[in-house]
Amino acid sequence: MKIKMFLLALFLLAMPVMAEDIVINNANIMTVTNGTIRNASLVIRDGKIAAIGTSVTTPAGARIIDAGGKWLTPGIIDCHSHIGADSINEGATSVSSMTGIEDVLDATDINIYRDLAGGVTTANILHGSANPIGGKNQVVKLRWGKGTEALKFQGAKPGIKFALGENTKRRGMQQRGQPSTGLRYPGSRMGVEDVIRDSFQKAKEYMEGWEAYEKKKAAGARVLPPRKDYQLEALAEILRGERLVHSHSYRADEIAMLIRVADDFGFQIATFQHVLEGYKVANEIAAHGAGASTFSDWWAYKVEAYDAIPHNAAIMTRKGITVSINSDSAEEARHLNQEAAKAMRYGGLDENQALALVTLNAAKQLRIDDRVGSLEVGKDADIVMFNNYPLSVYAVPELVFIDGEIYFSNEIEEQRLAQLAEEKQRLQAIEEDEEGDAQKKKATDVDVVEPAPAQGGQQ
Amino acid sequence: MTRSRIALLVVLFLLCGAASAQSRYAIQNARIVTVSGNPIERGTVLIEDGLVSAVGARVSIPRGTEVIDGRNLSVYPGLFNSNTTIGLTEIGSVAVTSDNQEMGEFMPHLLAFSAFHIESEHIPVARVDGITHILSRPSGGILPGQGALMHMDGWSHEELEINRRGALIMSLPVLLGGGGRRGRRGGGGSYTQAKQRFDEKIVEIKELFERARYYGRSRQDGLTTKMDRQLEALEPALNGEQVVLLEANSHVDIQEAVKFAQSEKLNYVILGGRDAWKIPDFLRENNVRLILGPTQNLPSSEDDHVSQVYRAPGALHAAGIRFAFATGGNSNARTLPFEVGNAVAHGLPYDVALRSITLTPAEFFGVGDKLGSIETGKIANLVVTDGDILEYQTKIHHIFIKGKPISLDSKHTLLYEKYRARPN
Repeated sequence: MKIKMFLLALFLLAMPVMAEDIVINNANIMTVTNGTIRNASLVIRDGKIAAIGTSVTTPAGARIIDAGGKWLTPGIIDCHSHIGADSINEGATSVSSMTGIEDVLDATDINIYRDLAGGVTTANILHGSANPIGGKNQVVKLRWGKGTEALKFQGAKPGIKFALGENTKRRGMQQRGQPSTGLRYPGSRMGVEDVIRDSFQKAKEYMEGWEAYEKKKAAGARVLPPRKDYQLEALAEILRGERLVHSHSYRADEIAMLIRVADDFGFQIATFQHVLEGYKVANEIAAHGAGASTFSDWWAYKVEAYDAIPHNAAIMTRKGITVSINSDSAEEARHLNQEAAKAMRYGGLDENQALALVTLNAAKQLRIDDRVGSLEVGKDADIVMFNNYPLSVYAVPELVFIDGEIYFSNEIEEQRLAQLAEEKQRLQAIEEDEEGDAQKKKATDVDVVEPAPAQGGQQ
Repeated sequence: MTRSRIALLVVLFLLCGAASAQSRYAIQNARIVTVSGNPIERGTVLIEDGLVSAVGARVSIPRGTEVIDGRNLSVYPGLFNSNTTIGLTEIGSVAVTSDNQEMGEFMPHLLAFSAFHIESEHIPVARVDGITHILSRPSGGILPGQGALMHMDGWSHEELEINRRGALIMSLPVLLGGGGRRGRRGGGGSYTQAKQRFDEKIVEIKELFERARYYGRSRQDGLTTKMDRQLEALEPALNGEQVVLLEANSHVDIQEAVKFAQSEKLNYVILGGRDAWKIPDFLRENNVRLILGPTQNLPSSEDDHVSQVYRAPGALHAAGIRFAFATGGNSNARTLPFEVGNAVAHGLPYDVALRSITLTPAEFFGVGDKLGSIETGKIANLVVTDGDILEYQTKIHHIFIKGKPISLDSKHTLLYEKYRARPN
């Protein structure tokens, strides 16, 4: 009997998860690429969008959802997040390109679920900003409850975090009157450039070493291969165009600096992150072809954020830059649709431009726009149903689909709370059972259980 | 009196006349959201000498009034952010730009008013999004000082001032932490240890309050002429004349704070109230008023409903609790209407939401007769919009502070205008 059950379980586990066919009727569909279609239907088949329009054929046996005039948008894509990461900074070295978020993913971080409930379906989990060249990123889909491997966005182009400015030089600045222990280069924006140039010079020489080795080997010479250097491998991937650079930046001068470095070494910056003074060097960013992923309205929390303006996204958009708005915070991610709406308030973008800031543009920046970012036939069925106009302060996500599967709904939340309540009751019962024993000991102290501290931003 | 002197007086008189004519404005044919009563769908607000001099569907406009065509526009009372550090801190990470914290645990005599930097960039930035007056408050220790109630425009501190002693700020030691990185239990350790520290501190505070009361009586009876500014600063709060903002966030801390405030017969408002939703009955039975923090916040526990923070205001209102909203901080002060809008999306009635950032906080601070609604005789702090003031797409067209039209420029709009004009 037990063996039969075990085999059945194995069989179920081995089966590919086939999402059911779903038709959502009577919805206002904000496609991003094709405007808003009123009172329309969307068909989900095999986890993909199979049809969108005012007259679609309903597949036999499909589950029908009546949206009752509610709104559909693409799943929100957060181009700068730290959810689900057990650690964020390897700041003991100026160049930590050998490290990666992949190795520290924590699929049980509650903030994954919280952001999912806010409509986020894809996120770019980045290393922190402690050093000029940081660790590798991991693009994830917020497939809550399915373990670490299921989080990974298969096929997303690999990337890496760079960082400029105040955060990177903090460890290199000696405090007046303090002993100079624990200092780490760089301590100025000059040094930041130096670290990056020096690293790419080393990476070039490293690549040349390997090329020479391959050439000699091909010619039949007996040579030893160069030593594998994981720090430089990641940089070599950048130079070969195989790894995207996502660079934390604030001030106009440091943005211009990195563009010069990239141009000199012949690679392209995928995104400037934060890029709060991007509006000052929008021409240069556009000419280089980099994307810009910024905050909606954060400013003045440090000197390099003092010239930040909420019109940044609008100016850069009008200069032809692919712009996204990101969260960098598990909290902010819960209302990125509203952060996008701020670009309508400040700078006057239209609703398609605004919604693209948290969907299609972020997908383009991560090179996953063939899969996600808009509601189009053939794309992954990553969809949010809002109860209200999605760019309104009154919009609340009610259903969140990933690959055609519902990952968040009010029912799912009620179930989660019921399970927690049940678990608590069970634990309380155990505690009461043990109370007799406990009373024999001397209870000297009572502690109150505290929730784990929530993860904050890394700005 | 010479002819030239008379001529000069005539000119001066005419100039004064012109000046007073310029200080009279009417917003005509607008939707007027009075807050104190039902909205007037099509009406006029008349502003004279800094005050609302008439409001209604039919208002006669005197000659020489500057008239604003209010068709398709709405007039709201200016928004009141009742917990900020505006004017006291400029750049969070640079200590020398902050004047909101002093040494010492018991410093009730310190005035935020005196350190208020009236050229702070945060003032126009928040103002152009409709925040017309604020509480700017010190923090740190048990009694960090006096919060200042300030208008968001004026040439001098006296012009900005609503009340330099707007509220006595007070924080009891934290018993129960939670809610993110901040709010950890004061001093660490177990609850029993924290409670012991709390009780010891309460004894100290009560002694200080007792000394202040004794000092007040002694001064009154002429028994002492010795001046003690620390004790003197406590008097209005201990008489119940001045509101005490008592910071507390966990349900345990809120209950302890209420118990303390009642034992001292304080006129108090709980500031923060993160976990107030857990104890609605207690709050109603004790008639507790709150200033809630932002709704755009993470739930304090994994076990809370994922929308708990958004839902709390609606639930508290349904339970009969009175509250205002504030953002705290400086750079995010302008998000006040959106924080409240999110509570509306989760069940808080719209009228209550709007009241919680206009009239309700004004009442808490004892200035409900001067601010917070559009009524004859009130200070003309007004915001004129083309739609719902809580909504992102709404544009603000005019702002009046003390009856004066305010520039819609800020550091942000000026940088925007400068750089949008950069040639390609």
